[in-house]
Amino acid sequence: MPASQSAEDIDLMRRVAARDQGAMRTMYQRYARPIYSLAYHILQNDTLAEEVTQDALLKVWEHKTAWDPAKGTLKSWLLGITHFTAIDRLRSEHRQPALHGTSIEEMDEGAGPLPRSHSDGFWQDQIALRLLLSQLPEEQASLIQLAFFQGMSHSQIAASTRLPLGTVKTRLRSGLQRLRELWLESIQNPPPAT
Amino acid sequence: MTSPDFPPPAADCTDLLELIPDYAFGLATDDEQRTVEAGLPGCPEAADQLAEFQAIQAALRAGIPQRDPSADLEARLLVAIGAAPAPRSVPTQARPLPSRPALPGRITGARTAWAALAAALIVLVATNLYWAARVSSLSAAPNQPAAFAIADTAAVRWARMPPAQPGGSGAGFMMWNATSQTGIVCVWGLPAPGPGAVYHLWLTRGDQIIAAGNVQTDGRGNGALIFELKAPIDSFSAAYLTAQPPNDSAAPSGPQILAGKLPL
Repeated sequence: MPASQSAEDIDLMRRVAARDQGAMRTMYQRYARPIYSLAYHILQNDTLAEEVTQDALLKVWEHKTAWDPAKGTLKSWLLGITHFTAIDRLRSEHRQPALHGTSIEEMDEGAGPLPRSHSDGFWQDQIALRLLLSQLPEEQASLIQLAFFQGMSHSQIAASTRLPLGTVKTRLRSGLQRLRELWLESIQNPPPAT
Repeated sequence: MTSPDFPPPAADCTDLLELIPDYAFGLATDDEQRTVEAGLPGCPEAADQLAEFQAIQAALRAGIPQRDPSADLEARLLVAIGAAPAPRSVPTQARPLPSRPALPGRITGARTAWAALAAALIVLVATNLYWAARVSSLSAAPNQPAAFAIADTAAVRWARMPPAQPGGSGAGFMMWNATSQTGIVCVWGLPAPGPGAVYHLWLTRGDQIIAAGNVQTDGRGNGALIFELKAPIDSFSAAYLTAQPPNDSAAPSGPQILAGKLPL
């Protein structure tokens, strides 16, 4: 992540910690879209997604959790909070998660063409999409979607997909390891930037 | 059999690496979680793998299709922020009403915050110290009826007033008692109204538009107004704020800055 962006985000968080409402507005304007998008992707409901967006940002405002710049970008941290908040909401609403038969394609539509010139962060975001889309068997990719974006356990996935529990565990573990291998390969051998 | 009170024996790195994907994605059992957490300090390779999975998760979260929330979510967040308590202790002595009053972002759980706000309003109106500096266009009615009306929290109504125009800044809310003719409107973060202009509050019902008074704002766009009408506020259906010259109160002539529907 560029040093200037990190310094900007550090200053933004310092101002939020000082109860600067203007800083919260800046944070909203900068990050509400990815936060809401993730919440919607998990909950598939506008109202709930907006409530989760608000809840996640309120947690930041109320200092219920702290960002460590050494561990990742502010955006990643905010999306992590959003993810857990959305999963909690999904569970409390007892919502039957939709089996996203087209979720991978939706991710592909949102991805856009691979960039030729890019920042490291943007490239890595797109890399994960491409790996999931093209390199993993659908049977593994769809289970990762259920586990990660729906917060389902092995047994819940098995019940949803009507696959044996052992099959779910094996496919998930294999899929995640393969995803990691592909990720490392691409990080080590990125395509040349023009 | 592993007792839940004692961590299982530390696994070697090979066994630990097998558990990392499930652990990273929240799929590990309680025993497996304890095994991983006990073994991580002694297995750098497992720690590295965990960090790699966390980076993958960050990319997955960021890589989904993007969409925009509704236009008034920002204003709702600002209202909720106004309701969030400050981390330091609140002074016990009476103090002026803050320009960002404590109101929750959602309807549930409102009573406690409103009771606290009503108590603050009673003190403020009685002392007249804060409002003498902040409130404009107070009616000729004595302060006691205004305080009494708002203090009856059992029938308190409120309405949000988000920006009327897309991309507009600032927000506000209006609060009143169900049968009362007295209400309060609080605004924050409004842009400067323009040279020679102030914010006017208007209430409407059908074709009728009533001027409720001017809202003076400070350098941060924060302000408040206690107003009194000749009819119950519940009989009105909407409220909005315009920016226009201070004496131009015959009819709205400026653009709507904030607007809200009053609950029926």
